[in-house]
Amino acid sequence: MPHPGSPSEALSLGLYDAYLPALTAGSHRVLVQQSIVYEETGGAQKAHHYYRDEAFVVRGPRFFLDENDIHARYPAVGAMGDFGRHVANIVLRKRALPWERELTLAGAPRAPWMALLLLTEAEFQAQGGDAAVQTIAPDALFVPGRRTSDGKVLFPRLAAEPSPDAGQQRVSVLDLERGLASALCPSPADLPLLAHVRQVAMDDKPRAAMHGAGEFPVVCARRVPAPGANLALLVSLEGWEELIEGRLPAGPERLRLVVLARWRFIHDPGFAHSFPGLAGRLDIDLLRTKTPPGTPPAVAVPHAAGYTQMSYRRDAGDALPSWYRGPFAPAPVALLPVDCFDHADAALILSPEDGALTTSYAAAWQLGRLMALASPSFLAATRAFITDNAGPREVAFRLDTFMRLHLGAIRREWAAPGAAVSTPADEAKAAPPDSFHAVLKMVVWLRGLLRLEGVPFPYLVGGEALLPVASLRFFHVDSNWLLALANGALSLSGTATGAAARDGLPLRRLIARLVERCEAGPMAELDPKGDALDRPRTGFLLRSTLVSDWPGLETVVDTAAEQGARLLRLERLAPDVLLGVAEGQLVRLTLKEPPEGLAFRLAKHPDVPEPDARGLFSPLARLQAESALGGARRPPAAPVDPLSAAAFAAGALSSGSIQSFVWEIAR
Amino acid sequence: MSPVETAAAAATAILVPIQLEALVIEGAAAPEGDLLLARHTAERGASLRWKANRVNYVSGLRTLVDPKLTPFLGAVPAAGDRLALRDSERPTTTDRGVYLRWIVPAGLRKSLAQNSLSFPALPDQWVILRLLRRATSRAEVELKAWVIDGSAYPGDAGSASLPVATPRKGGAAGPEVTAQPVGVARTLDEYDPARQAQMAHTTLTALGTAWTGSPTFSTSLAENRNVLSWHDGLEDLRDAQDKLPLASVSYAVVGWYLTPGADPLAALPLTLKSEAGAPADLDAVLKHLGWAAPLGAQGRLGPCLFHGALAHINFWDAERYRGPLLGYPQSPPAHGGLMPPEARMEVGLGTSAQAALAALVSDQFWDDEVEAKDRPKWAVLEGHLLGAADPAGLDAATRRKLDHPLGFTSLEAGQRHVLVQEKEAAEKAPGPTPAQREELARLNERQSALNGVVRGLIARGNALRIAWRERVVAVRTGTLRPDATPDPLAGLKAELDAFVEDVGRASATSLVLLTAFIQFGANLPPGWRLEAEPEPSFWVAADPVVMLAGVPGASRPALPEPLPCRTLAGVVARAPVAPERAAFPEAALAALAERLHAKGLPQAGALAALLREAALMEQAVASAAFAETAPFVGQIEWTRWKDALQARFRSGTPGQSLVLAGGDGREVLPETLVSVWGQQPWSPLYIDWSVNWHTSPGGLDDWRFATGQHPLHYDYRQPVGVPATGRANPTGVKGRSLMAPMDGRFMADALTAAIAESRLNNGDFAALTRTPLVGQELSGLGASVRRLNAQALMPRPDAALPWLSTATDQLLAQGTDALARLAAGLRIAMPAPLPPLPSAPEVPALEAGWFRLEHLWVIDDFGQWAEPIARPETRVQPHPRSRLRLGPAVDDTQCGPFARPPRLTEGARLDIAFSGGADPIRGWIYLNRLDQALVVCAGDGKLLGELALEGAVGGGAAVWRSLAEAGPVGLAAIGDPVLAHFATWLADPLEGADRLVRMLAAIDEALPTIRAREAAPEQMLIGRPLAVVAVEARFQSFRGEPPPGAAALRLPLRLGNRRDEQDGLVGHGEGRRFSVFAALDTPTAPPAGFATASQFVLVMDPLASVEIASGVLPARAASLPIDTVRAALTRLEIGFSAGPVLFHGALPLLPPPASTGGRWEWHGSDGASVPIAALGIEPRFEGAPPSVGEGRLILRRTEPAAKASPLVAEG
Repeated sequence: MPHPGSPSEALSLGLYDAYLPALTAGSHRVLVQQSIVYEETGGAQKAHHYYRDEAFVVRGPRFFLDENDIHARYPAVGAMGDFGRHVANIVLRKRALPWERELTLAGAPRAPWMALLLLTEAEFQAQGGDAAVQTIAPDALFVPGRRTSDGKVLFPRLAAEPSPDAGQQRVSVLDLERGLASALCPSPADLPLLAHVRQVAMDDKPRAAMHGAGEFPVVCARRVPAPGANLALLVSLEGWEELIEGRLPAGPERLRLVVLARWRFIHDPGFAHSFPGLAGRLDIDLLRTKTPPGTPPAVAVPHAAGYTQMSYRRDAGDALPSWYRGPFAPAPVALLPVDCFDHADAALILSPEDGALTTSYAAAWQLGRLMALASPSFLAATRAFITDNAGPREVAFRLDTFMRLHLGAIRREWAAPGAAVSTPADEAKAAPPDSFHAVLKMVVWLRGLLRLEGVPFPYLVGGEALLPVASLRFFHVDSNWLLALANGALSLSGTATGAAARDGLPLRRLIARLVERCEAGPMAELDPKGDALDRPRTGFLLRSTLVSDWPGLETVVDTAAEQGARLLRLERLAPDVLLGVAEGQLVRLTLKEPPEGLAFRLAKHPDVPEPDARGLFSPLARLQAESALGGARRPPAAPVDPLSAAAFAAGALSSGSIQSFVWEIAR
Repeated sequence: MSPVETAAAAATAILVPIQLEALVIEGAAAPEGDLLLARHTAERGASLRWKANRVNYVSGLRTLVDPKLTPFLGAVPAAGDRLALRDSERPTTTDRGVYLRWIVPAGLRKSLAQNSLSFPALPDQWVILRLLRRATSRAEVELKAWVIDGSAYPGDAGSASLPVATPRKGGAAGPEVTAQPVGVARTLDEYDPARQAQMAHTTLTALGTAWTGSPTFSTSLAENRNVLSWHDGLEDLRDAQDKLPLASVSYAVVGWYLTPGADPLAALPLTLKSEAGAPADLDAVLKHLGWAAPLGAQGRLGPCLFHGALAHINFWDAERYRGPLLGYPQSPPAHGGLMPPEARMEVGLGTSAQAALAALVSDQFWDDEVEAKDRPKWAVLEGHLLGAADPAGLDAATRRKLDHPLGFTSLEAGQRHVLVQEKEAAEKAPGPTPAQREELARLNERQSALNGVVRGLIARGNALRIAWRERVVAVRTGTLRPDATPDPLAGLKAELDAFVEDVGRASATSLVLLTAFIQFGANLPPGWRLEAEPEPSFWVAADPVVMLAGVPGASRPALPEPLPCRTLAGVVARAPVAPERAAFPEAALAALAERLHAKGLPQAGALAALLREAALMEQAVASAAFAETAPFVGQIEWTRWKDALQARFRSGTPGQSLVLAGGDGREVLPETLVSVWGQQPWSPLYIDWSVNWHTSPGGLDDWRFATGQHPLHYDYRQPVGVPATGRANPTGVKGRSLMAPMDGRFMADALTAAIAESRLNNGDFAALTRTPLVGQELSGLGASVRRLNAQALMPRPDAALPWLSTATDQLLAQGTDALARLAAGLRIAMPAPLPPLPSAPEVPALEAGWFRLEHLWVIDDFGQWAEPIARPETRVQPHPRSRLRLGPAVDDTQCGPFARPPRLTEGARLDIAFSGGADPIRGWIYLNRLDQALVVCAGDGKLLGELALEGAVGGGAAVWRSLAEAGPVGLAAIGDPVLAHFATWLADPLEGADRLVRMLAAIDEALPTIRAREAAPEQMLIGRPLAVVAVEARFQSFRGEPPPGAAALRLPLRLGNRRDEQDGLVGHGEGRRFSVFAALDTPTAPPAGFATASQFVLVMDPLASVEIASGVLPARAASLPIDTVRAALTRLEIGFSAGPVLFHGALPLLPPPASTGGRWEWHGSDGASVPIAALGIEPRFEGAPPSVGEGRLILRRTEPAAKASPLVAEG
């Protein structure tokens, strides 16, 4: 099934030297002076001078980085591979982050305030290893004289900044040997070249919160990995201008560096670690458990249908064997004749032939109820909206009626949140009630539930056997399971079916209508078709280091109905598990190496200086040499300034890889 | 001269204006002997009648049983059911003339302290000057003067009205008190100061006499004749044919105090002491009196000289002067048909002023079946009167107030103390400790016991006063001789001794408790303090109220407030007059001044100056009146002329008002010097009423206490085969009710609002606002129906003037005074003692019936009266809810029967007590909708188990599942007996699942209608928790022990009120054993009595209240202490079943339900408990085999919530 990747589409990205914020973090002052000169009645000139001096602080990261601010590391944490000429780097999520603080370097362009230092394991152990990385209070960095009491450790030159959460913060520091620090620290000329911004398209990535979608700052090391373990340290250079400029005061043997991030990887020339390589080794199948030949059909058949066998401990005290399958099945699932269950037991399926118990829908029902009970806002809205005994269908019916009644207000709300109340009431048939927003939240929550948001993974995939390491699994979505889930969520108020019974619409349609209106947003219809739960949905689950090592992994699906169909849901469920759900039958899945995380490799050229014996190199020297070579080797997107950070990045980027997988549907 | 008198003599007299009024009676006696009332009043209602009113208290003083204060002025039934005066009471020719009456300033009619019967003395010496201008020689004035000594004994019983007790001289002859009238009038010529000085004098206050006290004394002519009023028969002016000359008369009076020490400026500084105990200064005294200090007064002020004048009562000949002149007493109507039609008098009868007002506009009935928007106009008006702007939008609770004919007045029961936290200190400061709260509870218990003791003492004191009064009567009537042996008063004395001792003991206890409370308050943590709050009141049935519309309004003009006082320097010496039109009696005044000096009257010079000023005013009035005497062609011209003349003597009309200046140059308001007689005065003072009371023949059986959600009182149920209300054997009750001034703005506001509501307004409200409205309670009706003598004179015991003996009177006075102080301090009502009517049968504990208002007179201070229901077209409108609907054959009177549903005859209250003391909640239940089960928790919130339905509906069973943390708990092992019985009863296997099904249905039905004050914290999760509480309800009598015959009384109670959304009752069980459960709308109601309590168990929303109605008292709402409830709710455990749930190893994979506090546990079928951790939704490939399981989720509360109130610790 694996389909050898052919780079049909070029990976496109933009490269920028920096993203400089208008105001850097730290203390600032605003000085305003105004002078007014006027003539008095006697003809004498008189002047008034007004002066105002206001201090303020721009807050920004200083001593630690939030894990959410780190997008990717290269090589990935713990990665093992041939990284001999690769430049280690870290991809961040806030586009201005490396330039948010200002270093006072003489005559140098605006440089990043952080640097990625690469240490060999031996060097790191010589410093004391992991134990040497201490966690201290930030205040401990502000020491008079900038030295420890014995004078052996030098501190950065820092001024205290007012911070509301000072005292709770902790900062990681490493006392690095003076000589090593001086060797590893970039020079004022190299430092600006070691950080740049990559701009990429975000359409095919799992959603992630970031400043400036698609703009990723990257900070590179100026050393190539040594064989064996390497330690990457992202350190703050704030207050270390002396170190950068090579004018450290005599005396101290060690420098106390603030460590913002660190990770290890292993450079092993005998081991290949590449995107196409990993993709090529994926185990691709439908979401089902393979059984060895000769397995009895009573076991083999359910396994082939995606079920997992589980022991079922009943309230009565007995334990029965049972079968469970989540919402994902290897084959399309027929709609159940019943769509409304008053309690979980009603959704238990007992096979008349062999007495086998299937708990799938009962567990879904119970999970829906528990998730509803765990959501304070859903609970509150339910209690406010339904005060009497009302079963799932009745609640869905009332929600449907509610949406029909207040459609005008709901559309306005979704067009401009918060506007529903203030708009003239004449458009709406009825003024929205007090609980309007609460009930609307209820509907939106329900829609999220039907997209399986917040559903624990074990409920989705019944066991590890279904999704082994390095596997890609395709599946069909079982709408019965979704319906049972919604059933449970709507079951909080009781079992009665009043007006809903007279109305005659089945629960499946009622819920589908709610969802369809949500999907349509401001264009919501009064009476949508209500077939959302009847349409086929398919998807894939990918468990691979492709997901963890290339966090911005790009995914494109093609469905039978429509080429280039968008995924309904694309989400990293775990560092190495990616879930994708699409409407219609999925026929091809394309995985693309994320451009922001492309490997960064030093090209070899006889006239360009190679890294020295310790692996250290000067980007500037390399650029100057390349520039001197002229157009002999033009990068794909040549920057205007041949000696810029973007030029350095452009010269070192690899081309990336695109891998496609085709779901061969058994016909 | 005493120092006070010396000081007074040295001071400057202060001149205080008073109001003078005159009623003129003239003409021949009518065929029946009646004198016609001055015709002028015909224009204000021809039904006004008059009696030469004279009240004689003397026999009352002697016997204390028949004070001759009989309503209707002694009238007797005449033809056509009307009341007519007895022949002996009818006015005769000697009653002709001018009746003068003056009203002393309000400051002197005000008691010296709140709730005190101590009043300042009234001025008792008066000079009256008559100024006469004959038509024959208008310019000339004839003067005549009289002197009144209002406080002198012995008065002439034929002319004076007020009898005042005098101790028999000599003292040895026993304590008998005689009463003599006071008030002597003499012409100035006859007046002999020496002889007057030899007479005994008394001190008069606004109550007339301090022993019997009449609230109308200072205003009613009948009571203060020759004290504050006087009759000038004009006999000296009549000719041989008994005709009066054509003339106009004017009067001036000037008054002072015989005893300088009684003068308020001398006496009040000593009574109105400052806080430091220093005598009050002049400013404080004047402020109390409501007098403005004279401007520029130097040195000491005093004595007081009161003065007033009334000018121009005309006896002109209408023919000769071609038209009626000002106030011509017998002039024919001059309006020539131009007069607006007489206002129709209407009478409304209700249980309160609001109800009576609404009754006035009631011509349709309304019941609960009618939609709120279709309410009739009287109900709309009631809505406004009760403050609901939109009657259609009235909430159920307010509507119920409308439904309830309250008809109760409250008796304060005492006070207790509660802890109050200052707002600003909230949340921060630590609260009182549990020990402190317990201590407060103990103190409050003691306080409550003391309140009960004091209420008992009040009842005992009243009984003693009645016994004492009976003995006084016996002594008066000669059936008891106080000096007989053995001492007939010994028994009374012994009782009084014990009473005084007990009062002393209670006072001491009160002091001890007060100290304890003060000490307790001092030790409270910062931000907390003690606050007194009233104990639940006792209630007595209120007397009904009549509201009269169209009764001519009061004509009494008012002097400015504060009273502008002057000194002699401000006396007016000149006025703008035309002397050629009216001469000034210079010589006659000079002669008068000389005589005043000669008679040795004090302040004779000042008197003369004031009389001279009055003469000047008379000249000014005459001069203006004579300026234009053209014939008036009709009423309009005459009215215009009269109004212009009167306006001239009132300040404030630019260009018209007379401008006067005193000798000191300061402006003097003309209305403080003189009023111009314009019409016969009419100021309704009291009403006399007569009703026929019909006791329900069948007693309580004739009435039905409707169950369900009907009005809160009993409905009349006409007994089968018994004529509803004939006129058989009614009890006639007559009474007199004083018209107490009240703030009528609430009516005006409500009427204005009702008019504004145009949709329902038919113009009738607007008519009401244009009509003078007079409302008055038929006070004493209830007492009379209860065979009590509401009009009995109840002399106050006075040791200085003993009625029986010094010993008894001293003890009784001492005891009752101390008790009154104690009761006032504890805020306990002191109902007045009412002696039983002679030969009255025993009063039943409960009475019910109806009455008709047969006669009604409105009487003014001159003895004029109107009969609002004497006319055939006038009907009394009883309030629709109080109107008995009977057959037309029996409903033919002018007043429909007015129902008085069953009422307790004694002040009583319904006492509601939750058993269990500080922690009244015996257990909790809540409907677990997730499992359709009823969860049962202990009072401390610990989960005990749940009752679930199992099996088919109808044939299923209620199954108990224990959920207790410590281990399985059986139903019988539930700790609280009430809760145990409740749960056992529900799970009774013999009943199948029926009881549980009904309980669940009752809860399901009740909860949506209950809107509790706040949502319970876990309400989101499991629905509303309901408290199971045990309640005791019993009637309590104000006097402690139940009234005679009441011990056996058992009255059904009605619990809950579905129409009130604040009512939280789901159902109740009778007794403690919960043998019968009744949801709302079921007829079962546990009866309660005085002797036996009604015990029941309530299932209620703990944050709402439960209404408990008895039908004979106002309904009460009982609610649980909110702090306790809140704390308990935070400890409430929750449990429900869940499954199938996926497991990862031994850990269930589920999100913990949202809750405030506590920890969630999973209880598997194997009995193991696993705490529920926050759920991670991400994949975890750890190789543990997945499994599925069923179990229960339980929210345990091990620790009290972090921010719970301090009560948590206590519970």
